[in-house]
Amino acid sequence: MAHAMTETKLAEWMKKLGPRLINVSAAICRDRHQAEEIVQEAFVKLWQRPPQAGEVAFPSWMRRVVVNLSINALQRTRRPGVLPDEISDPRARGRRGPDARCEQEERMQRIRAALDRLDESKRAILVLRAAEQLSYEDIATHLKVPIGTVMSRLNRARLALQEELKKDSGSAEDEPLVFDIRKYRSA
Amino acid sequence: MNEPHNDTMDCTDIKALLSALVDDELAADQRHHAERHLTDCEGCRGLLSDAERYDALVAAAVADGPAGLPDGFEQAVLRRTVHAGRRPDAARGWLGWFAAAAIFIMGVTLWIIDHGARRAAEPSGEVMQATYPTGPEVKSWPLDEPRADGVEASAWPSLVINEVAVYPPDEPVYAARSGSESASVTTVAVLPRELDPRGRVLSRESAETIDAASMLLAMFEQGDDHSFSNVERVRRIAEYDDLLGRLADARDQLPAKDRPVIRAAESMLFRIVRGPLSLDDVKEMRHDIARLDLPKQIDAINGRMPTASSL
Repeated sequence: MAHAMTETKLAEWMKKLGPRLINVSAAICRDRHQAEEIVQEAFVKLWQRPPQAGEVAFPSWMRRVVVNLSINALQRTRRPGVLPDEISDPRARGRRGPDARCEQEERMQRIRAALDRLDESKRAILVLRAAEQLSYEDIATHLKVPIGTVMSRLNRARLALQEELKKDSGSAEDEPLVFDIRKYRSA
Repeated sequence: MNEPHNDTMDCTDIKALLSALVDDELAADQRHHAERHLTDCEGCRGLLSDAERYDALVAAAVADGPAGLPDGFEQAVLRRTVHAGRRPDAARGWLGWFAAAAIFIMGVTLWIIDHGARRAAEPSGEVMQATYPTGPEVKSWPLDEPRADGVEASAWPSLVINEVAVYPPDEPVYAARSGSESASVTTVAVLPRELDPRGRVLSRESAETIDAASMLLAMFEQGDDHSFSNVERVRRIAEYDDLLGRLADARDQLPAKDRPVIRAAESMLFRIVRGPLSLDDVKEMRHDIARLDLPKQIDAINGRMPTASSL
């Protein structure tokens, strides 16, 4: 029986989805090398058993597989993660001017460091909502949790991120406002 | 406590519904009320813009990686997919079969060993099934008698079988300690350690369920008296999530004194899920939720339970 996908198609999808998926996975599991392996694994799964809905479903199917593999990998290893380090990657350099690049890199490092200190469930939910722009329903499907949990966990994740950035921040300008729903509700 | 159903929200409401605001999950009239407050409140405007800014920074941080595939990525995938079936000679095929058979046998052996070990093990936090003897050993636990270890009687099972405490049949059947296995009848689930009434710890899933119930009731409460704002949204989420079932499970993990609050939340959510609700029903329920300060009370329970602090 002929395979449902050709080599050319697979290569196209790798180029189209691969870099973004590696970034998402690296943001969740905090290890770019592991993220690359995870995304490779996801493409192998895509080749072996592509979603029945066809190519239109590939992006969301792949993202779901990658998110799940990333969370599983993190839960399995439970080791201090290695921050994704695009600074050392020559392909990430040179896209911006030196000053702008430094400033941007510093900002990105701060946000990555703050994300890194969140637990994996909060990190994953923030990445899926803020970076991937998924709806609550889609996040619930990806993470296999109820929608209500997505809502409350996302709120906690945003609070926790603000807390982490506040700890991290030395300048008043960048200092985020922090609030605690419970405190205000009881006020 | 907030005066419910004003035409504007206050800072507390904005903060409680911040995520819903950022994600545009509020009904039109609620958003309108929020915007009226934001016009006058610099603090809340800052709060909202910070939340949006950090979302944008997270998105930028994720998108900031290399634009292309890493070296060797494509070849590695092709080796494992397109080229995986290309073998130079038939011998490799046989080797593959032998390897697969060996892995299968090892897997089965490991499963048998693991399964045997699990059966022999004392319960240690896992839900297990076991059989316990019935007959003269079965006795009723005197509920009205104070327990030496201080556990509230209503939180304690009403039967003890060979030192195994079992909830009555209309409750979820849990045993607090395992007895020796025998061939006789009663099958019970061994109480997971985190559910042990003597040292109640809320599971993370239950803590999140309680959190979600609080948030949904807060969303429901914030609609104005003349609209069905968010009623359908809350109903759909509660139904989709099987929130009532999950809440009942969570309630069982709580000390007796905290259960009535969760029961109140369950009854509110039950009415929402069952529907249909008239505008008067919705208005009355919103007032009741505000009068009981239900979201705050639910949060207080979560705050007292050990697991919730790690949410």
